[in-house]
Amino acid sequence: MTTSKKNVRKAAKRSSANTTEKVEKETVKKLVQPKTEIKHIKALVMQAEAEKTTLDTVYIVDDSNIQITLEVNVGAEGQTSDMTIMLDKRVVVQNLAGDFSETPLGTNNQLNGEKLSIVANIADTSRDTNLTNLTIHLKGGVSPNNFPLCKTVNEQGDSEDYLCLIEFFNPLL
Amino acid sequence: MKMIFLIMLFSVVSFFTAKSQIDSEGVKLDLLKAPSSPASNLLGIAASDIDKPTDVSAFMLSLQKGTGNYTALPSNYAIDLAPYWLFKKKMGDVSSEGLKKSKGSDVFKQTFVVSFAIRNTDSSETVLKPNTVYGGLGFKFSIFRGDYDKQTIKQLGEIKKWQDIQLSIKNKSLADYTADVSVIELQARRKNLIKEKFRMPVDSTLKIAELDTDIAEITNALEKRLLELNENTNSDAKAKIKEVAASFQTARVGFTWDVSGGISAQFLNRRFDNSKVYNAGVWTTLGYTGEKSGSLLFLGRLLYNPDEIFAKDNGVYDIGNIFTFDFGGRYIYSFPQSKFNASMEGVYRSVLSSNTLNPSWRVVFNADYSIWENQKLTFSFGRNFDGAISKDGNLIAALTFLKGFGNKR
Repeated sequence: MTTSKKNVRKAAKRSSANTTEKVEKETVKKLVQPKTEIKHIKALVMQAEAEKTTLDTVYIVDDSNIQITLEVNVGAEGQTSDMTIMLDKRVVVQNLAGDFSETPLGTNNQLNGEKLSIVANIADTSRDTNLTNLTIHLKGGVSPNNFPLCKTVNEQGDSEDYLCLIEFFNPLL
Repeated sequence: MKMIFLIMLFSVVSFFTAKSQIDSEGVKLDLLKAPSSPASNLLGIAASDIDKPTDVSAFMLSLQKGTGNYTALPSNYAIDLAPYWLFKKKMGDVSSEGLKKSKGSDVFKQTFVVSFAIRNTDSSETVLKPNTVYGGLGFKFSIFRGDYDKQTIKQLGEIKKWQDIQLSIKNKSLADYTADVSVIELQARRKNLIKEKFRMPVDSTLKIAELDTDIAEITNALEKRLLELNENTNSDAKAKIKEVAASFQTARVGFTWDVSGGISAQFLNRRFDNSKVYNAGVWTTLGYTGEKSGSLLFLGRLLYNPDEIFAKDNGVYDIGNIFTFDFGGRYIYSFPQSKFNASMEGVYRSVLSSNTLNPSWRVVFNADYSIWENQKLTFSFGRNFDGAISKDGNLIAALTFLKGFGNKR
């Protein structure tokens, strides 16, 4: 592995984590740092825990030929979903009910600059919960990342739309 | 049929009101069904008293409540744990589509429940031994649970049709968003900041934190913009989805097979070094539910009751370990999505461990009508195994109205 790749991976580990777990780990590491930074980390934790249905972010890739895979899980138990996934103008899957199982999208260097869009509607058909959620799992880039989104609807039968946009980006090019 | 049932119901209620007081426990409904909580069932703990945590936090809260802030062993506590749902890390597809497709080992994993129960009796206890601690452990799982019925599939198809329309509208919204010049500018700024961050020396933690803050701010602004767009794009499709989804109910037809078992122990004088098996049992229910023919269930149940006192033919009381094997059938007049259910069940009990005790039988008619969600009118009439408890061998329970308070779900 080249030195630049190592740097990218090290830097990615330090970069803003998308999951609460990662942010909490960062918090522990940086306890000795200034109060302003701790406040910033706390804000990130709160942000990760809040309900959200939209996502606009980047997924860091490198110049390797390693395949990047995508998996999307919907929930909660018994909810009814419909989902369309596109990579730029190319349709990956259209009007899919249920989960999107782990699928390779392309290599790191192929995907750099491409935009992945995921649009879903999740209807509350469960008698046990009003929670709807959608979790995007991306693997194969600089580091694996999960993007959890959720929303508790007000009433039985309500549905929630999820709009997600993820750009594959190599910051060293 | 509903009219006949209601007329029959009210006439029988007025006639048997006095008799209903004879048996305070009433006829147990759904005997011909593997119990969902075997440990609690063996100790006679009501279904409403069983905690069913769905995540680790709820489990810890339940444990905290049951043990008085972890200061003592629980005294009266029952819990059902479904490991698949409780420790959910990688669950697979649990949406309505995923549950429709799940078969074999998925069904086992999704339906496997472990139940624990503990009951501490005081001096006023009449059913169990007073001043004794009872502990129970049980399990339950399904091997087959049937497939979605036609109505369920039709409703899911209807929801899907409107969701497809909703998605086409939302796809257009997202395309508009990505083409927006101000959005493109913000995304470009964010990428520049990320580039800058990745070129920073590893030890420039303060500068990296600053860049992280700026990146997070831009991301928040973009997501807020996307959220506004999402909320402001309304369509009739969403209302149509709600029309169907609000009344959606999953019903399954076809072959079903449930298995459950449990064992309970008795700790005399509340001493843990003085224990014995109180009772144990294994149930299995095999059945078929048709779209139009109702359900037919077959039960096999093996129960073990050690040190049971019973009367011999010559009138002398004796004590011994009783093994009983119950088998029987139940026909349920019920259609998927129907509010009215009626059933007739018959169970024959043979005593395996003793020639002194005679076999017994039980026949019960059950009926219930769901008035609203969470509210049921139920009726049962029949003869229990122990004919001596009810007069003339008939056990008559009156009308029961069950009402759940709080949220309808």
